[in-house]
Amino acid sequence: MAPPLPETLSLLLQPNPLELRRCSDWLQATCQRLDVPAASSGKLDLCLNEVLANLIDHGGARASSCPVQLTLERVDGDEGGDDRGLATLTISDAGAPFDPLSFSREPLPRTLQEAEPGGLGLLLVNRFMDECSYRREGDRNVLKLSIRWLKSP
Amino acid sequence: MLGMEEISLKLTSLTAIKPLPVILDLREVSFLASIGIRSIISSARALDQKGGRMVILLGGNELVQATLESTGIDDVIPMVFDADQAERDVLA
Repeated sequence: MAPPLPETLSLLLQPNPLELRRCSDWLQATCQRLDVPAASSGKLDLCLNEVLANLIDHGGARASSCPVQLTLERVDGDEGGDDRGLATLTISDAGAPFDPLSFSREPLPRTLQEAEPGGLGLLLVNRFMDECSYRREGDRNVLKLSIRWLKSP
Repeated sequence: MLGMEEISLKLTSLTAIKPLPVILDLREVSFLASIGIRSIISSARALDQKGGRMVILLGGNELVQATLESTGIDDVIPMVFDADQAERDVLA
């Protein structure tokens, strides 16, 4: 018998600060529908906010005039007896080519004076997500953020 | 709910003028994005330069704790988990 198809849900939004709340509400509701645990959905929500904020601030005119497509997919694996859940959030935008995963991480600060106020958003994405990938598809950036959790502790 | 600009303004007003002891209570904060962390760093620096001190009160807020730990802020601004400890630390 063929394996069940993954559950997928999508949203189109304008890359605009006023859309961030609607976007967060959609993600939380969709995570709940797909039984993604609250701890994981909170991290996904934070990372989505960071990616969209980056896009709004630095994406340029083309990015801000074309809708962003969000897709949340849950595909659970059962590899080697490891009963883990997996949710993947795909963010597709029409901005200039930009790979947010290509930036090197700065070392963490040791003093308050060393703490850099910039670059923290992408650092959080790298730290909170279990897998990240970027590719350019036609005239769109496609970023995939995945998080895993143990279904039965 | 306060917006980020209002929170940032409030933080700046508390930290930029006098060397006050400041407890930043994040127990009920559901979500701390990098824009919020930037505001906390700037305010903690301003306070530090005036001889003041900031302590972050977390309670059991695991997501905010993980956010601050992931960015290394827990190493440069003290984080505590209960209000009594926060008061003791900020006045130490």
